[in-house]
Amino acid sequence: MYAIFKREFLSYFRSPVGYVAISIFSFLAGFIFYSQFAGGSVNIGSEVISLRSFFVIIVPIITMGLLAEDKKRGTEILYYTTPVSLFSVVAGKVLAAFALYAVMFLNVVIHIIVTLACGGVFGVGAVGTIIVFFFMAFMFISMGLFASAITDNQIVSAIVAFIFILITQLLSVIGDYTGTAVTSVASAIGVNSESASAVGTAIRSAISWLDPFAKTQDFRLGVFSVSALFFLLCIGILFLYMTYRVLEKKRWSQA
Amino acid sequence: MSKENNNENMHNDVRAEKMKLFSIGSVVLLAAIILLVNILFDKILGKAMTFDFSDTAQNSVSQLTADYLDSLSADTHIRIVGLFNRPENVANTKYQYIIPLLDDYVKTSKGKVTVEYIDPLEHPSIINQLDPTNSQDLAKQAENFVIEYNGNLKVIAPIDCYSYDENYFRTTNSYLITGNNAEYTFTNAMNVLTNGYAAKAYIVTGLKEEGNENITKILNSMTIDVDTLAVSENFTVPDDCSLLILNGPNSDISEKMYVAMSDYISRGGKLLVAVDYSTYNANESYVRLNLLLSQMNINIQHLLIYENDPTYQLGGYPIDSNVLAIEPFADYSSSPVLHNSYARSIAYAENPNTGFTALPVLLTSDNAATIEVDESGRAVDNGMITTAQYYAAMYSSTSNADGAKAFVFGTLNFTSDQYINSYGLNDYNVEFLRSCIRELVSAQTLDGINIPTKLVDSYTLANSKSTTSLSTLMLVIFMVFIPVILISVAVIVYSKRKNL
Repeated sequence: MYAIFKREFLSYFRSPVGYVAISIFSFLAGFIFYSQFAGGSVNIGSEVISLRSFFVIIVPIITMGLLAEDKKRGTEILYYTTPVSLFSVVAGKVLAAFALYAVMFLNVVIHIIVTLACGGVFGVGAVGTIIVFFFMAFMFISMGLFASAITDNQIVSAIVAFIFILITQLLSVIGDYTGTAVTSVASAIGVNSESASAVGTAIRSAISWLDPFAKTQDFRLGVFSVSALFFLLCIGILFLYMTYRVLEKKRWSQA
Repeated sequence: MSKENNNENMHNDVRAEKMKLFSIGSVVLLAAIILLVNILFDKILGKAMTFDFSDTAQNSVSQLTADYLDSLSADTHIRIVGLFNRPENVANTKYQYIIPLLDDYVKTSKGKVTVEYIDPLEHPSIINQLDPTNSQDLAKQAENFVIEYNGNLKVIAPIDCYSYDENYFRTTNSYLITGNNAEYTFTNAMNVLTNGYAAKAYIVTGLKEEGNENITKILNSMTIDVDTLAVSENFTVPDDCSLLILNGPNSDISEKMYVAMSDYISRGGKLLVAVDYSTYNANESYVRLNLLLSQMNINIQHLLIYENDPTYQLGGYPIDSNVLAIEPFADYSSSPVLHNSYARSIAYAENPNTGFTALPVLLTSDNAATIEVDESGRAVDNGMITTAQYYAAMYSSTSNADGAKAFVFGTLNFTSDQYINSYGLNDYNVEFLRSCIRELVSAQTLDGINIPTKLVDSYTLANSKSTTSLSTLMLVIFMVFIPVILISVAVIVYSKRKNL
């Protein structure tokens, strides 16, 4: 697993991909930090929360080539023929992308140091948002890896990852619209308004329950919920398992 | 040979089909297990596995509230209803510090407190269910909280839960939150509903005064019900009045009020008066109010206290200074040094009434002076009157335990919304005010729950560091320098490896 991790991690820096991803992240983080600094008040928690919005751009960039490129070049055959488990392949690749994210995060660490040097505060709420940031990064990278496993075209992989992440980020909005639509439909077919509204609210709540952003919102206030982190971890593991199954299926279909 | 190949292909197809089914089945099974485990985890352990590490436990109830909830009988049911749908994301909303706290009430109360969020637009029956007599007009309380206990209601608006910078609000019409009083507000509302009020105070309105929001909160927290008493031709002080308050009047009382309040004092009434000396009332001498107070040997002077002693001055301003609470009032708050600004001098009345004993409460330094100013804030005749020690507050009482009592403050730093919003409900001045109220209204009856204001995190940088030049430096380093270097390296790497 370490060999795959090392190979994948270094490959980010043997091609422009890693530098471009870090550069975009640096620019965005720098913009948010500068905007706060110029206003005389820096909340690292807010900065990290804002940066989570850019998962939708950065994650597809760093995951699109993880498996799709191997398939395109035909080097994926090595995973099936060398004495390495597919689990190690999946874990090594996801850890490499995760490590790249950690490198990107050094920008925020510099911002924290500057903030403290300028008499600002780095409170427990900021620590909470950083914990959530890394758990979400793991979850979204797993989604991106899965997207990369189902195609041999990097662009398609990036688009699929983008759609996965976008849907996840918009779950609350989707929940609201679905709830409203269901309420309207129920009312239209003659269900009384309170029952229709109750059904709409239930559907809205059910969809919103899946929203990882809503689940982890209290971390920024210093309220840490283990169940929210467990949820993010589980979703990440689910996508890793799906990736593993895609590779496993291919291994046994090679003949 | 061909037959063997066909058999092998058929065998592979079957194997691939089985593998596909196995993959889909196992993924669906894992997804179902994950969903189920998470739902159970959330429902069973979700609350128990949530920890409040915030600096001032913003989202957890304090031991005072926990003790109060424990003291309630097991069959108590306090129902809190938010008249709106619970927002999925409370960050940066007015509910940011309220909804997580209410979750903790539910967790701590062991079933005695329930919290629901019901939008009356979607469920109109909730209005009638909570308030069948429509006494609180709940249809107009959307976005607020209703606390219901045994059919009695209290409505709490989110802004009731915060201290905010009043100057900022006046200039921008938006709130800059300085302190979180959500627990204070909710616990005291529940306390009043479950235990009832111990006394009733009336605040006189209609004398060009400013708001009474915070003093009402303080009185409510001490289980004192508050009502207003508007200036009118038929002004009378109700018989159930335990405390009459004049908070920052900018005009004098009427003849009718003078008569009614004199009668109230003669019946052993308790009076709390707070005035100041500002451009709003620079020409006001409070002739009738002084006539009333002179019965208790107190006089509000038409002079502004001017503190000359630099050790008493705050920020170098002679009209914003410390004052000292003296015996027997020195232990009314944790610190006898209190904050005073724009204060009128309070003095003994000229013709003493032997039935009352007046005592100084708050003293300036020996080196203070008093001046008279006009409406523009300028000193009249540049005249600074005698350097001496002046009183910023006085107290008067009779020897009779049930007799009239009064505290008269020459500053609004103890009672005004502006001061309390700026300094919070656990400021020394507010602590002092509570003690004064306990002295005026029988202390034994006041068992309010005094929960300190929780300060909201401030992310402001040091003034010396937050400069334009440093901001520009940040812009250059973080938005230009670092990204450009990284892009340059990317270009170099690409050009060197493109042919590999």
